Amino acid sequence: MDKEQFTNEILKLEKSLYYTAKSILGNDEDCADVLQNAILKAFANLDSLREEQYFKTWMTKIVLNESYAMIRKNKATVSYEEYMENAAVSDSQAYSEIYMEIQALEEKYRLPFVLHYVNGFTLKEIAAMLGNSEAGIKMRLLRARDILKKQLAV
Amino acid sequence: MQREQWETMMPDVPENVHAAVQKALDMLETEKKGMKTVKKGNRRKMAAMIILAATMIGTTAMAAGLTWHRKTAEEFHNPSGEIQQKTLEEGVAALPAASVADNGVTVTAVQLLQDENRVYLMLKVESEEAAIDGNTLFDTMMLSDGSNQEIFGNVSAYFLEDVNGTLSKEGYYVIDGLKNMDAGWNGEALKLILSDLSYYTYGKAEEGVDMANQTPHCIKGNWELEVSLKDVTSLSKTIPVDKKLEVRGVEVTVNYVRISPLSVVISYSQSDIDKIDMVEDDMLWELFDISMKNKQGALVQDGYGAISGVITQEGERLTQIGLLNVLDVEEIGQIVWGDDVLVMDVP
Repeated sequence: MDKEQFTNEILKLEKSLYYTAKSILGNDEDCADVLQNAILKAFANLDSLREEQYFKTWMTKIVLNESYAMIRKNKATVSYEEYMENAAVSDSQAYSEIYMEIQALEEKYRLPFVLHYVNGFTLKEIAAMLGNSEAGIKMRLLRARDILKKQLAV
Repeated sequence: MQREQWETMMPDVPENVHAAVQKALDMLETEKKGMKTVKKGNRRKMAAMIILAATMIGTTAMAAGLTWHRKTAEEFHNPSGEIQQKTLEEGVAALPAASVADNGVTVTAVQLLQDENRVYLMLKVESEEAAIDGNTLFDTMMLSDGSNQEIFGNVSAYFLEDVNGTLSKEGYYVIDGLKNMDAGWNGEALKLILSDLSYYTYGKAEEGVDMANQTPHCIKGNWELEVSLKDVTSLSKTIPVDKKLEVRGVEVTVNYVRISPLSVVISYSQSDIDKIDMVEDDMLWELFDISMKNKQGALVQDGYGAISGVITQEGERLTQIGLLNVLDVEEIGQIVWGDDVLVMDVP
């Protein structure tokens, strides 16, 4: 994969990668930093990707790792709860009600929910990325849907 | 709701994020990166060989320094050396040596985990021909104790997926089952028959198409293994609870929790559960959403894998839960349902 192909793939995945980072970080400034770092790291380690068809999964995993690294870095100064509370305040966009409720889910439900329903990963892929079992991911998705149903009467 | 509909509910990528992405792309050095191609090995027909190997997984003390197979350790979030050693000594973990080969494919049992509810078997599959990844599968799998095939209430079997997407001549196949509480399986032996290994090779992705072209292949064969199991019920512990858990406005009696190294069984009052207002296909996740802390207050279990269970004639709902970690049962100090809906200290 050359630079041009890599660039095209990243631009195709921009939304998906942003939603992934946002599920963990909540703050757009940190999402911007994470995506930038992830893209540079990915290109530098492109040899570790053996098959192009797995690019989306591979890239998402890198974004997940970078996001958690950002959390650990921020935790040194503020608690995770305080960080997430401040995140929504600092963003400038007006969000849909559904999106607000998705962001209000606990991370263990929010992240698999976004990866599956928004980003389109299978349960198996999500289980592999998050180090969980398929059955565990399925249960978390059910739980997320139950919570959203109650909150939104969808 | 379809994925495209969910996407319309999500915000646009903010300008500052898009600018950061573009900046990173502009910073990339122009460099040609060659893609490695998977070479298809020459097909060689091997004479059919079926070796039935019976393994005795005994209670002999393991020599110090033995550890789990690395793949199993990864799947269970890398338990400490101390826990690995303890489980090997107690018979919860075992390193069998059974192997069978047919038509160029060798299947080797590399690790067994067991408790009174659950059997987890990891197999290494090697093939001169196949390109193994998470989409590979055996077309047929039969599990029995020699006569009874209904030995599992919930079982899953799959090849482990490599997130980097490598195709390989070897892979790891997991069989993970919760024992059928109705079947009367004494859990003395597990007989496994696998047939016909199906795998895919992939062409280059076409422009605008997400998935690369897949070509299916099948290696005909039969692989049989028999694994002896051990009675490890002495490692399980019953914790009387006799408290109420609020589930959707109904107070459900929790009778007891029985903790094992790889699983948990919770006894609930079925007559209380019958009072809950449920719609079809609803799932009472509140009954198995538990976490556990050790006596030092550290979280040692959160989340759940497979679920199974029965309703007994005595009016108990027994919910069986496969855990994501291996537990030191004696060190469990607290069981928590949901977000502190019910908290139970373990003496």
